[in-house]
Amino acid sequence: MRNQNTNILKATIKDIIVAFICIAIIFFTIYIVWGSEISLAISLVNKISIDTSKKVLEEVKLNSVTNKLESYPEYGTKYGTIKIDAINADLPLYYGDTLAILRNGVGQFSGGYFPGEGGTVVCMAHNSTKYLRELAKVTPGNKIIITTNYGEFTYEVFDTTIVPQTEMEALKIQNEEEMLVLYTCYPFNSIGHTTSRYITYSKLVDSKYF
Amino acid sequence: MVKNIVSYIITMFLILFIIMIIVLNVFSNTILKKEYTIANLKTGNYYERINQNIVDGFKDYTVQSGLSDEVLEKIYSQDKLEQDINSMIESLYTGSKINIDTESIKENLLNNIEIELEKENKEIAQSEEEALTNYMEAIVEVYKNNVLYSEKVVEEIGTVLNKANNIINKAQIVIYLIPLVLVIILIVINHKQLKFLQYIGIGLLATGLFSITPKIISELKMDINNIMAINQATSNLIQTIAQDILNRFTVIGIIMIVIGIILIIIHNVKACRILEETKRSRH
Repeated sequence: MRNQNTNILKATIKDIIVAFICIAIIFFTIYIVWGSEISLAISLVNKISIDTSKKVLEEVKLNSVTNKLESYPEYGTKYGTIKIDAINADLPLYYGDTLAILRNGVGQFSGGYFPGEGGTVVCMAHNSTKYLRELAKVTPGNKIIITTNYGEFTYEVFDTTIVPQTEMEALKIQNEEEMLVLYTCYPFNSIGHTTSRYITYSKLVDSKYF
Repeated sequence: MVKNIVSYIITMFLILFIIMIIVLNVFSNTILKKEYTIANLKTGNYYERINQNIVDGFKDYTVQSGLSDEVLEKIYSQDKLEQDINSMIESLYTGSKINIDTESIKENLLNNIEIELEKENKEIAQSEEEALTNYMEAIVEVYKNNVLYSEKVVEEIGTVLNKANNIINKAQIVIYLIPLVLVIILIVINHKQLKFLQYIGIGLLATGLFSITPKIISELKMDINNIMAINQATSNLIQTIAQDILNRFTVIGIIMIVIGIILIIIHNVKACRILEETKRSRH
């Protein structure tokens, strides 16, 4: 009886191994015929997968020698504040300029520079009463202070202008001297979807690093 | 010996055809079925989440428009949103023309704006008329883009789904008939000692092992649970459907493995008993 059971077990294991061999042959054939397509499909799926739970938010630091940030804030996160005493504004500053970001405060254009990097910092916010409705009251000589976790940067307004929203040259993106371009929609009290922008230009006059 | 080799070859073909039947069945009852997709929209609160996306999008434009959020009240109903989304799903599966009515949204919005302006005692200057039209167009676009990401994308996906359904409809009879014939051949050439159970068991076991592989590969190599496409609601829908399909393959695979092993054991028990009896009768 014991002998019989052993024989049954051996025969069953042999058949299971045969099944594995059959499936190995099929997998090998699939790999030969469609291997690259399957790899491509897997990499495409992984490309559109974004695991937000694993990200560790790094502290933003400025390298004072190279004048470049050693690590950048995550897109969509608040990384500072922008204060304009002339209009009693003390607003959160976010990295990024999507409509979802602008819902919450001042957005920073990702195509510009960060405060302290020696180039043009471009920021924008809605012209609602909550944000920059009174931007026109900010005149040359007024100060705008951006405070981040790596430093405090004071800018002095020297010019303002009104341009169509499509005029990208008005943003004056450059890296020879640090300036702040802050804009909002114009006209301020209009009804509907505005297509002009009210812009203030400011130069960096003071910086303190933490 | 020859009979064994022929039987193993037939078993290999049997495995291939059973795999095709499983794939055909799983996809026909999931992603290729309109009712399945709509059921997933309901259980995943897709309509409510898209509605929230639309409301948020409306507010993004309204906050800079000089108008209050009150102008957005009741410009469309939840029923209309569900109908429009379902019409998009209908188009995916049947190729019908998508018909999303945005005129009613514009009319309702304009009414609300007129009421608000009257309440605030404001008048629209001639220079603001274009800005107002642009605002209403932007609101309508937000609604349309959330319901129907892109007409072209929907058309392309619809073409693929329809092609798949056509292939399945044409190939169904063949795919079910051939394994039946193969099983009959196996039974005929291996009816002694129920040897055909061994081959069918090996076939089912191998098919079962194949069926559980996609789930294993997805756990090891793919990050399906974090797929991001278009918006969070659509991403969750895709993740849910993908996981459901993989789970169905796994369940079928496990069942096949169990049945396969049982058939193998039945054959081996029978074969060993016959061998023992033969040995005893010789002695």
